[in-house]
Amino acid sequence: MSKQIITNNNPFHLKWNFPQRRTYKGYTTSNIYIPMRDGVNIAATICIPQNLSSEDKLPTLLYQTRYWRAAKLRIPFRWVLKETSIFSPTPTLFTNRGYVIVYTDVRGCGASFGSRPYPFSKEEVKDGSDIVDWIISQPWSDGNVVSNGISYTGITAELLAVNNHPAVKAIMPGHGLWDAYTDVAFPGGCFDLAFIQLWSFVGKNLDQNNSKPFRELIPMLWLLMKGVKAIDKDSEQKFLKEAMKEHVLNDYVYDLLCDKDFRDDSLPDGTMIHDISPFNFKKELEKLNLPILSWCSWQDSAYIDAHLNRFINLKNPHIAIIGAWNHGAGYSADTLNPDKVDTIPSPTERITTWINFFDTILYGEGIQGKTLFYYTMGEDKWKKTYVWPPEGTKRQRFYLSENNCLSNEKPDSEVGEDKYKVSFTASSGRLNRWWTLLGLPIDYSNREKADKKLLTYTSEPLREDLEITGNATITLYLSSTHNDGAVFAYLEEIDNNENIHYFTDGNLRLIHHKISSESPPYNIIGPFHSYKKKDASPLIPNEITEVKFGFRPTSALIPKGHRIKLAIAGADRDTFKQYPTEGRPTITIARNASNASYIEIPIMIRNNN
Amino acid sequence: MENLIDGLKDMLKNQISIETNDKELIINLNLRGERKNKDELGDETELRDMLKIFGGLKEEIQMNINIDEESQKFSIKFTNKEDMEKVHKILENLWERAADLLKKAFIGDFKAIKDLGDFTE
Repeated sequence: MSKQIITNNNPFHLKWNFPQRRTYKGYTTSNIYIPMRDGVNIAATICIPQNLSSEDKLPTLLYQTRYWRAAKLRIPFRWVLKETSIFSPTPTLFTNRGYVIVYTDVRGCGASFGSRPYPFSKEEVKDGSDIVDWIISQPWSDGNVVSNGISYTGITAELLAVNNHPAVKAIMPGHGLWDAYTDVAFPGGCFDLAFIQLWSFVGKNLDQNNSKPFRELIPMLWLLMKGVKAIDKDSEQKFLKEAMKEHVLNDYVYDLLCDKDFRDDSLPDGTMIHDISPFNFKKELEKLNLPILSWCSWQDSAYIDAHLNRFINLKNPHIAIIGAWNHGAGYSADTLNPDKVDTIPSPTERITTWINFFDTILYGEGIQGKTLFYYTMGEDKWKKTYVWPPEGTKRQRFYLSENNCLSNEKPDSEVGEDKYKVSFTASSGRLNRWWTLLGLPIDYSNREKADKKLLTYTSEPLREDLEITGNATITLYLSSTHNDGAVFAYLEEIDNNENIHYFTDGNLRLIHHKISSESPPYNIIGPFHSYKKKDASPLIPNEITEVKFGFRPTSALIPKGHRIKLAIAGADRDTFKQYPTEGRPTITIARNASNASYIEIPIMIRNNN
Repeated sequence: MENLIDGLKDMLKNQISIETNDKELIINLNLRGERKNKDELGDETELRDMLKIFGGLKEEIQMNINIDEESQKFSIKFTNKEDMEKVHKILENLWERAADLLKKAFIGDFKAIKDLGDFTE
């Protein structure tokens, strides 16, 4: 019997079990340096609930960022707002519930000293432990530290646990990576040039106390923030200027990765990309059995892979949440229901859930086992499962067929192929699942126009509602005129009014097509491509090759009468590096009895079927 | 953040008063609320940027700006009444305009900030 419960599973309406604690009103803020083991000073902003007595001992929420822990606001905003008040939501929710918050700039960033060879370096991770040592030595600390964050800060929250510091009691990685190679730098082996370049550019400017790049990316931050907040004693910003000088030694991921291709390519100090990935610390993460609450979205880059891989691989007690919103949950993103704007919890609702989780761990009964709450797009329903993929699914094939159709019947003809001359102007836009890593909203409403440059296949109208929940795969028997290239495959639905709605995609650089027989570095769902140099297999021009890869996981309800559409591209101009860099390949996709290309979709068996 | 933006205009109105002295050709901005040190109050360049970016001041106006940490006051002295009135009008609408700009920027309205000019960094 399936353990799934189909209704009332909104994770933001859970009932938690912990004793009531004293609440507080207001908080005081201070900005100081915390010295690390090697003498590097880390800038910290500390928010302490007001009117603490000397007997009051409180837990601390640690938040380690590379994007300015607190801002020096521009006037007139600085005249009326605190340096922390622009955080969404403000620290008040946590401080009112009796948490001290410590925000830090990671080394090499913000007002902190030091430099960084790349993100999440060993020294940066160790700093987390030093900061916890400092926290628990403070008179207001009860000796407990928890950590949360979104994106970069979500990853620092997770990596804090790697130190196995006994004071750290729970972590909450939101929208964070698990495997730096596949989740952010090279999804499907394709270099996410746009994000890596922009992120490095923003980082470089932030590390030199310049907010100007926000003008073109996140204008609100440009209007609000003049720079990073210096520590309180540094009114002349002398320390801050000294720190900037040390940041000049920083390296940035674009410079480190722009000429790389493989998972086992080395960075200048010999580190490999996967060395900084949380999966590499599985043993350490599991050692203290720390409870985890993680959250992400179906449409957030390849972080949805990260999210599920974390859920599948770690044995820790774990609550995982998957919603329909952009990176960080600022905007709704149910692409099957794009007009629906309330798929996100309010910031208050969300933060209250986070605090309830921490209170349950610190003062209540804790959590047991692993539970995943997920939202089905197009259905507007939250569901719950204890395993991924959920129980009760079957896999159904749709074959690429003549006349650009998707059919449940395998072709019986010995001939049948479609030629596609790759369009290097094909694009999924700049409000796609990749650009949202910059916090942008998600908008795939351009699919009709975008698909005109793509090779597409469409099914007959569905006879029943179809819930696709899990990881679909695509198997193509293809040949190309070139030995390198890429395939981008989009899964969409067409409604009764001919509107096209995207719901997931997958992509693979073709030199990585070999399915590895080695054990993957962690348990994965779907075909395993190692992305290592030794497995690189350039195509032999004009020779048919089996190319198989996974779509990103999804949960989507396609109503009866709607059609499923597969759209295939060879490039995504506004996001990924072009493969090959020279020439314009023609790809031939076979769809015949001997070489039947198909997609395989996980269908949830529903009670009404 | 959205809630904060909604309340921002009132916060600015309540915590900053604008006084004019027609005789002396001076506008005073008096800051109330939590006391701010010199750095938090800001400097002359920031004030000019505020008038330009958030207030829409297009021309160069001769102003002598004095910032007094003790009284938490900005005094802006002008050379003629016309300039003073121009800046006074800008200041009267500035809190609303700044909050409005921020709101537009929050929802990603890049057009709203397109012609604002640039801050002096």
